[in-house]
Amino acid sequence: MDVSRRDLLRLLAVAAGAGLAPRSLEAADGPARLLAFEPLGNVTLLHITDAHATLRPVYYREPDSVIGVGAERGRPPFLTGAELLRAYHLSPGTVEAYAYTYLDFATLAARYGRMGGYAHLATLVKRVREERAGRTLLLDGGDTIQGSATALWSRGEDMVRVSNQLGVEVFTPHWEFVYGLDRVKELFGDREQRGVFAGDFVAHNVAELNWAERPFRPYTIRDVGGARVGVIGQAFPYTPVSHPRRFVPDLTFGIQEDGLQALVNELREGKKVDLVVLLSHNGVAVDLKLAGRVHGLDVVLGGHTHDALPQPLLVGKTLVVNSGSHGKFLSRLDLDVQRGRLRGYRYRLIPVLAQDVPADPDMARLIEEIRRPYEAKLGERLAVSETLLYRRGNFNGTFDELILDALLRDADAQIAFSPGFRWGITIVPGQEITPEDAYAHTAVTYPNTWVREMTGSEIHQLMEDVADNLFHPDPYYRQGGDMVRLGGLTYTIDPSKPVGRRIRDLRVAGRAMEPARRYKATGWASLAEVDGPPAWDVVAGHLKSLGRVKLAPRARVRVVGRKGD
Amino acid sequence: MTEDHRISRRTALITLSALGVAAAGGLAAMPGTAWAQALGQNESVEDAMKRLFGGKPMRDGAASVKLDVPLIAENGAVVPISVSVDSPMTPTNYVKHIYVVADKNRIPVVTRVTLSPEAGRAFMGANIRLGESGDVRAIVEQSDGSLLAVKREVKVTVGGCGG
Repeated sequence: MDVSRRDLLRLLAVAAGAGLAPRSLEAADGPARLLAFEPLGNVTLLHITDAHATLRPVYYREPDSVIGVGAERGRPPFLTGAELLRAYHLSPGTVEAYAYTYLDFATLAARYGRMGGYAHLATLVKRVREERAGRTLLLDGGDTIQGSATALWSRGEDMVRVSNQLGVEVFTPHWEFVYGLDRVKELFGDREQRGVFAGDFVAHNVAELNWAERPFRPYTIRDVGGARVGVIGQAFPYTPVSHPRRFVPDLTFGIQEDGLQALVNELREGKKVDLVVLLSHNGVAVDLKLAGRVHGLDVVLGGHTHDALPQPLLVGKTLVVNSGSHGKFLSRLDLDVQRGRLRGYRYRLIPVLAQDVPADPDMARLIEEIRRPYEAKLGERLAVSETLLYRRGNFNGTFDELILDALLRDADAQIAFSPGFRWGITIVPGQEITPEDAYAHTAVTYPNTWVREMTGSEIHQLMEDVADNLFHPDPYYRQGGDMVRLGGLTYTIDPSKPVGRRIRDLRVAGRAMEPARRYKATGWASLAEVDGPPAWDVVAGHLKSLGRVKLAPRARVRVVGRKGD
Repeated sequence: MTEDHRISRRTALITLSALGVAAAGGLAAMPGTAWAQALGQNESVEDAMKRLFGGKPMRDGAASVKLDVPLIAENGAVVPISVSVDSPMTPTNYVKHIYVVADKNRIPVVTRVTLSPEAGRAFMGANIRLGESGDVRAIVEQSDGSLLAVKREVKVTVGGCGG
């Protein structure tokens, strides 16, 4: 919520009216202020997404670079840091600056503490459910069961158990599929039967390859606060090209405007719903385009690109929400829905500040039970970092540099590749790094490393291909990851150029990369089957040998083509 | 699911009947990388267009021609494509041919489908092979000889690195 002085006074008045002493709202910039929410209407949608199996509170630094191309540039959601604060009338040094931006991250992390954690999230959800009995719907946009050691070892089951405990009611997938279709069906059921998950798993754009039969239900209809709410599931459209094909060999995905429009019409005309929600794993730029081309969507609850949007973006009459990642936020969207029409809304991207929200005892017990067998193994001290380590951002983060160093050393290679995943927690200066943290950056079902020779021109082409997946002027052609991370190599990139012309001045160890020359390259998370040691072992081994991590700033990527260049 | 880019059972049957068994070159027989690309361009798309249509004017078909093909191919060796044209199919006014052209393919002309008024509707669907990222065009030749064209960029990506 964009809290202006006026809003704040209103909130204080509301709190006073509700019998709360103003003192309980703490100082005007105190975190508790963000928990006060003046209810509106008859429907409260609660949305979480992209938790990446982050069971306990963590630090997660929002990106310093999210570059939009063409008309997108410099507008939400392509804003970071000070620009984002300005756009939403927020101030540096506040809890919002900590939650929504990368600014002063280490300092603010020390002040406001870790964020997220299912036990803290559960408390917030319970509070809203008590306050809005019969009027809430809790939706999860997916990428929930991948990203931790315990999720990997239980093949997603631990996260489905906590999702049930949290009371997630509707779910749509992406990374869930890296456990294979059979496992997804065991955990989430299919259109015929239920799985372990107690809610509804919906995915309209997933079909069997040959005959276009949908294995999952495309939508669900729920009665919320006297309104009939239709929720259509939009799984990540590019699942088969973003992960090894072997996990979903017989499924097809994609962006299907016609199919979606037909479902919206069916819900509105055939099923007489009052509100149509798209629970989406498209990524925010795709959501915005889709909302402008499919008519009749009231709300898009989006994820995938991990954008923490302080306010919904309005496309025509459609509200587009994106709720960040790693359990950092709970989106609350109050809606006034009357006879098939959305008459008003109020929203906040609520930061889950672990030190200000007590843990829910039941959830805390379940998490402890899940972790107990592995606690000692995961908590071992590998190294201590003096540097702020993070991954998120369009280009190499400091944790990526650490992974790349580990890969280069292990393979004795000249160039290393690491995927531009948007998940992966942050380590603050002075913090111990544990195997759990190494897994939080590498826990995939295709973790193996590889070593092979590649020509300079192959490397360049691969980089251009990935850059086009990030900076294609049409969001429908983007896959939603960040730029592939490179070690041993520096380059210049102009995101505004067309494919094949974005990247230049590639240098290997300071010398111009030669197109025909062969370089020894390494990497992990290959789409092909490879058999090198898994990335977590390589990273953990490197950390252990370092003992202390201290990374000097590295001039890795020069970004040009923006204003002032 | 109506005429999205996946091929339903019914559509597949229609397609088979439309194409006959002698489906033109470019239909994917087996998955895998299109190694033929490595041999180099057999014919440029410009030459192919000149050969097929001479200098005949081509109108933008966006209003009546629907080209359905994934924006990012899930497998470049088997890319489902369909073309439907909002057109009468009467003996005096019908869609005669639908061409599919993949600009970057070694042999850009992927197929030409011949239709007759008896087909009832102007539609074709097929699985095609794309050697690399580039434009895919659908060119519609009407019974009076006039031409309509639409195109769409299709990426054949190395993939990976999803968020």
